[in-house]
Amino acid sequence: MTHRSIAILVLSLALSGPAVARADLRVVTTTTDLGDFARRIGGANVQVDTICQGNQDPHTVQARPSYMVKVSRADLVIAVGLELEVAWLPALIQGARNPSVNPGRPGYLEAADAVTPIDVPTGRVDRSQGDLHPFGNPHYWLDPENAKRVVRLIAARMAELDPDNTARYAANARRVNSSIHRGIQRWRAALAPFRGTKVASYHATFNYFLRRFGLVGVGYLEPRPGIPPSPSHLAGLIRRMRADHVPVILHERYYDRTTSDMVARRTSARLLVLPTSVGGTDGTGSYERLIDHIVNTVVSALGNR
Amino acid sequence: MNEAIQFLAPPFVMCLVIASLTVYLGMHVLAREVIFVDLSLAQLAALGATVAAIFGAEDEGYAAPLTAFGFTVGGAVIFAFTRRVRRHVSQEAIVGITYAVASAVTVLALANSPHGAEHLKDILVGSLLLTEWSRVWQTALAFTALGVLQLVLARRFIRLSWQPDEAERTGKLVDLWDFVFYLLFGIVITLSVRVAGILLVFSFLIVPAVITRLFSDSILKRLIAGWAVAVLASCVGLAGSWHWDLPTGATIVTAFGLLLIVAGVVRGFIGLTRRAPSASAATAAPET
Repeated sequence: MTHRSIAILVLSLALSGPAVARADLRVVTTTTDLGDFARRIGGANVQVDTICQGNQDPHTVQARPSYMVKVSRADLVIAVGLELEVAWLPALIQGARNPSVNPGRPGYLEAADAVTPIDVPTGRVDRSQGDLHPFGNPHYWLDPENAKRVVRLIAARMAELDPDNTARYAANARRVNSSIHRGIQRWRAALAPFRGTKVASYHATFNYFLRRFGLVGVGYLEPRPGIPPSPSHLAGLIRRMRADHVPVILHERYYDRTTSDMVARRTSARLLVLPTSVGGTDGTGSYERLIDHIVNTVVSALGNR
Repeated sequence: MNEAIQFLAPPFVMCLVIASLTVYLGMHVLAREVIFVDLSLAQLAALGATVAAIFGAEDEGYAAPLTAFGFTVGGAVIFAFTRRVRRHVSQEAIVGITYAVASAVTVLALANSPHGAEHLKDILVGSLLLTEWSRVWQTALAFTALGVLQLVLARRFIRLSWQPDEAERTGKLVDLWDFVFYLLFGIVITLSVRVAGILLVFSFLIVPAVITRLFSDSILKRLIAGWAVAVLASCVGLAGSWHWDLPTGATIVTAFGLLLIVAGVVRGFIGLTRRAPSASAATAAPET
């Protein structure tokens, strides 16, 4: 290869950037769940891009050029909030140099504003309770009642940024919420026989889900994902799980299974590897189908004891 | 195209700034056979920043960089005053131990932080793509000052790195100058790792030094060729990252790796073609 052809290759690589089409409102969401809501509320008027894949841990995201391009062109960035994306989103927004989506501007929305967080540390933080997010547990979207609140908030913000389509956004949001509402009745009925059942989970991701449907969490395998748990923590958890005859461990798909497998072997609990976001596994193309999948997996494991 | 340039210009200029000193220092590190010293010093600096954060230092304040600097000084002391262990064990062993212990203590320090895992990952891969101009100019300014110091002290440091035994025999205060070397080196590494992460800085340091070592012994020639290698890897890596939408730092590291393979193959061919005539001459000789 000559020097010139190398130069041409490099140049042509640089020239061919990712392309984005035009729409009334360009929305970027961090997670696929928020993306699903935004797409269905916005309809044809809104173009939605998501940054995380459904099977990716939203705590840690490596910046890629396309993320910067998307954020730089966005009219609205929707984040989960409660510091879930604190490790990467602020730097990404700053790097994209799009002041209209800076935190505090109408172009930046934290969906958490719609919900009342749980697991907010008060006074001395008890480490055994796991998550130390100072503003509370950020995994609120797995409670469908919270999902409805988030849908309303997103529709309101889209209307604020694009008043011409206010009625359309509101109507779409109502449609989404009545579908989620039908889901809630279905999920409540399916999980009703198992109210009060004790479950363990890998990380605090499922707390809102458990609370909504009357399941009881007994502890986390790795309170801080990515940091191996201490032997005494695991020993204590295994003791508690045996004493309470905990039947299942809920495990987020994107975390390594080693610890969960080990605890499952020592406690006779079944390990359920679950998606936590839309698109996290096959057949979870929408929010309702995601919750369907989680509920069905839990119900069939608890029913077959 | 405009968009690509707009987004890739700050990281590209940052690469040039980082390359300016790391390519030169990498040749020192290679000559001293302490390849992983940058990983060690970077990990110590990261540990310092982590400790500062645990005690409540703000991201934007001076406490974190100062603590990081303090830990780097500690590392420089360790490496300067263990150079004499060379007679018993390779100094690389001390370097490796320092890295392992500093990493482990960082894990312990982060064990109670909700974002510990993200922080650990950030130290490793950095966020070059999101570099801002203000950070680029700050770093460039600091590197200019450090570069002048390196120029002034070049003769002394080159002797220390390339002829250590002679330097010890004839030089004065060898340990002290060695400490100064590791200290200046540590500052360069700390400033670079903050932006680019440990993996990328390691590549900037070692790969150009290794590639150019294949072709030449002259420090000046290697320095110029090494800069060219670093610039080429940065261009290829940034363009590839943009085109295939891949994480930027890791793509540049991969580009460095590919360049090393290409250089190795080229060196092999040069070796073959140089040997070939004499070999054929040798076999042909008896017949004529």
